[in-house]
Amino acid sequence: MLFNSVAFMFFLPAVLLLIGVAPNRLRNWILLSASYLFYGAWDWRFLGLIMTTTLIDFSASSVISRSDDRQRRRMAFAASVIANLGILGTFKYFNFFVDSAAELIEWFGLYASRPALNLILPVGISFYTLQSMSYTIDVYYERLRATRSLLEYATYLAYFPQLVAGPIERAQDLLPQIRSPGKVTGERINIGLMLMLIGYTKKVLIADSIAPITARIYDDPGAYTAGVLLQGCYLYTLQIFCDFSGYSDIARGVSELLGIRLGQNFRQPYLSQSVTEFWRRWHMSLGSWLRDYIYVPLGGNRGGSFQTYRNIMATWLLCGLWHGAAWTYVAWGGLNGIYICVERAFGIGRGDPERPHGAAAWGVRVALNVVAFHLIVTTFIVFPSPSLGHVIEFVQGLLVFDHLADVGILPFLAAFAVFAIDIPQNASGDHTVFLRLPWWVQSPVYAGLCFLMMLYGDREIPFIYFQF
Amino acid sequence: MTPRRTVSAEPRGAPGDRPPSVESILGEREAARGASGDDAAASTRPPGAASYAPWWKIWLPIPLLLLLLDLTFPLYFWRIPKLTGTSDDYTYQFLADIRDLQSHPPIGARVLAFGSSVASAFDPYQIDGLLERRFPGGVEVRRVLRPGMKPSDFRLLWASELAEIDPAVVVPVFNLVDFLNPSFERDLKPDIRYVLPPWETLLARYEYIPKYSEKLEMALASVSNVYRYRKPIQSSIRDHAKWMRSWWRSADRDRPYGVYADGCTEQRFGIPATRRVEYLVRPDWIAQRGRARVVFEYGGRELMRVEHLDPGWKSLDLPLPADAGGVVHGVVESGWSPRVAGEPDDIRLLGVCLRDPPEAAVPARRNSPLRYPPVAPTDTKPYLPMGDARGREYAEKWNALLNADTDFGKRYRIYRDGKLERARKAFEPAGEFAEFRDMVREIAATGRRVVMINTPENPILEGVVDSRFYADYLAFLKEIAAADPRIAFLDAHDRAAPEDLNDWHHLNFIGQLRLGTAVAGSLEPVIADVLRERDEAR
Repeated sequence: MLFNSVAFMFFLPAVLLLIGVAPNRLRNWILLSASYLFYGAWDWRFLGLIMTTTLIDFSASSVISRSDDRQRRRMAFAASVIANLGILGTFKYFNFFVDSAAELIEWFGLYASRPALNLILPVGISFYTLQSMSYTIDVYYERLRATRSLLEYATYLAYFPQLVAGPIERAQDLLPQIRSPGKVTGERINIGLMLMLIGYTKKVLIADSIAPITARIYDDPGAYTAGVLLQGCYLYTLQIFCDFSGYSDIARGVSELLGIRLGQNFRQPYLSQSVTEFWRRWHMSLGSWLRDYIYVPLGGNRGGSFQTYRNIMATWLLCGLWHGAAWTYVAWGGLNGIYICVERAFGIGRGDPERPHGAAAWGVRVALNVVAFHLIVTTFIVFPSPSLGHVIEFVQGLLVFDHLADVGILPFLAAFAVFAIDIPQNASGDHTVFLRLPWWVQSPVYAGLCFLMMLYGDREIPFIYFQF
Repeated sequence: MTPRRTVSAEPRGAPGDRPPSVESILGEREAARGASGDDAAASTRPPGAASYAPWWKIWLPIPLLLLLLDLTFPLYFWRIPKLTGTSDDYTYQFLADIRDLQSHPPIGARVLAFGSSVASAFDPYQIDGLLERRFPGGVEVRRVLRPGMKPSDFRLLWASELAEIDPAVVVPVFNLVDFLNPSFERDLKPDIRYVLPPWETLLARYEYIPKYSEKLEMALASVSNVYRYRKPIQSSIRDHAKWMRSWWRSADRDRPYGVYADGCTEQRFGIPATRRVEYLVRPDWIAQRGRARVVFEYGGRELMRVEHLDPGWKSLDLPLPADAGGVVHGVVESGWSPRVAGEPDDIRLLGVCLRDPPEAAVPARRNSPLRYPPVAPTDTKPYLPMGDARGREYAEKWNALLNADTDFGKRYRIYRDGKLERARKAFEPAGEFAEFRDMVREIAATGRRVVMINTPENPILEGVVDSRFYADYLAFLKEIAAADPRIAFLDAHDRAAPEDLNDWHHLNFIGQLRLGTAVAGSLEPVIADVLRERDEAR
């Protein structure tokens, strides 16, 4: 079920109503049933998979938690990791690895058969697998006590607001709230509805309006001038942000109405002054997951420079692969890794920059913003392209630099809409800063936005990150 | 949960694996949010939360405002002018036409023609003009057209909407293609739903609507005006945005436009602003259309509206301000065709012919005026296939287009194969045929006259009209007409030359003009009867 579907407009009030009227002891049963209904609406067979993951990780962490036998704990831990990676590998990467291996063999002039699995990629599998793995890992390393309630654990893993595209929540944060949700106060209703409104505005009114244009341009880059391709790059960069951060905002808003606070996943990333800073502000829950479960265990920055750069590159290549089973994603991850390594070599992007004082400092800041934004734009050329051949065609077309006026006004309009939300949020450090306006300004503006969403909401374009 | 162990900050399995401080190269992680939902809310409270207005003050007015917009929708939306032409958005045009018909009582005997895209064979301006000459002030001819609509769709629509329109004569304009591949059309054009009454459609078509979400949408559309009419609202917003853009660039319109080298104009033209305008209304125009209507505009307002029932030179004094500059814009309601008038090589659609024309102002690069009706901005080119070709050249061009690997080719091969496949089978008056028969009978049962028009088939499609199936199909239609004196039937399947059509079954405007005379002729006795009955009733 999509957040931007009519079905969800019926589903959410029904869930809120049921949870509101039902006794507390039934709350998690309702939440779990609703989550399974939400997920099963795509394809009921997906439910088998998430239930399997739930049972495996719950059992493994229970064994780890109860046992003092190091060998037994290790076995349970290994079983959990293998099962999780096995499921993910089978459903997401099997065909990719087989094809890649076959291509390599054929490159040496040998024949390779290509057994292919005809499997649908279950929505959100990459997200809940990471979430589930982090739980077992944390229990194994005793950062966390294992829960004894299967119901709580199943609800944690299937929690519908963030199930299919994050934020990837750690059990330390989400499990206590599932066990003991907060009171839904007026402030929480304000925050929840505000986040939902921002999210839907980004998704329905901005991202989905851009989507048909970028799809056309990226489908056949050879057919367009450099100006149009540049327009496509800018628009896609804005589209993916509005699409993904819009989802996170809606998820956080919905969750707020359920008395559960989810973590922030985006912090105005396009106002960054370096790619390194961008990645501290973009998909923060994935970034911190990769840091804690890949980068640090690899050694982090504790070795020499070479080891640090190696660890950064390895983490980013895996990050690319996590996004999709294709070399384009690996290339995307690699490009980000290179940018970050270069910035690290020059000491750029360490820590959050201070607020500038004076015109010159502001000028430097804006210049750095522009440079960083364009570096990010170059990475997003790779992202939606179906193959590396497409990427090359796209870049070749772009480097001709002809008809640059074809960029047109659209990217500027879209950027204006995005920054009209981002700049006040960034300046105040408050995602719900618009709630500070007088209520009589807010109501008609929000009603206007809701009216536009009623008109344009029926496009039901899936969120980009669902494919991951 | 009762924990067996206390939580340790350091991992037990790999002590020392995590350094005391890790430089944040990847995303940051907040501190753990606490032991409950309330702790989490308190530890991450937004900095300005204390200054927020009460939630109900901000959010409760929103549904109320939306409800107000919804309830008052009929009072404002249909008054907003539709800025674009009829073929720019068929859904919007269709709904606007229906609404207009329902909100205005008939002027004289109302003739309502309707149909899918083949109904473009019926030009309401032409038929109205021709009938107006015969019955001055006694007749009003209107047409509603929605490509892809099937007889069953119209039956569903008219069951709830026709009484309010109150036509005296109803003219279903159809072709064999309307009865073929119902599922193909429904799959291809689910948006037909947007013009049908949602609740009735949901009940009648429940099994054809594949997804539950779509069923929910229909249910929602049945209780909300704004949601039901979201497509025309979207169109209206888009049209006004386009209009504002063109207004912004209106400097381009200060030059004459739409005037050919021989002084004749297109349907829209601009001439230097002068008080006196002289032009010729060609006899062929009056013969083809019955009348000529011209509207002059200046500076965004209407200057003068004239109607000519007789041909000849006309002279007008426009009420222009003394210092008027730029151009006066002219719009003719519907044009005339030199090819129909006997000049086979001239396929222009023309308006007036100016006595003192400005320098020719028709761009060299122009689309052919032979437009296939359902034109979307993206498919204009493939749907303008035939140009001015005639005879053998037409057939060759058509075959090349049909066999090409384009959307147009694929689609029209499906139509051809559908028609040929049907023609090989025995005729059975079921499915859409039965829906059509029942619809006609239901309309006639309300006391209205019905004139069924079977539109031309392209003669280059062999194997259909000469089949047993087609003979039975015609017999079926004649039988419907014979069973009720209020029902008449005009069979025009063989009344067009290949070059009068854009494809298998869509007439171009030349074919339209040619057929119009016959249509007006077949309507005359019916209208005479209606008017006589009305006189007798008085």
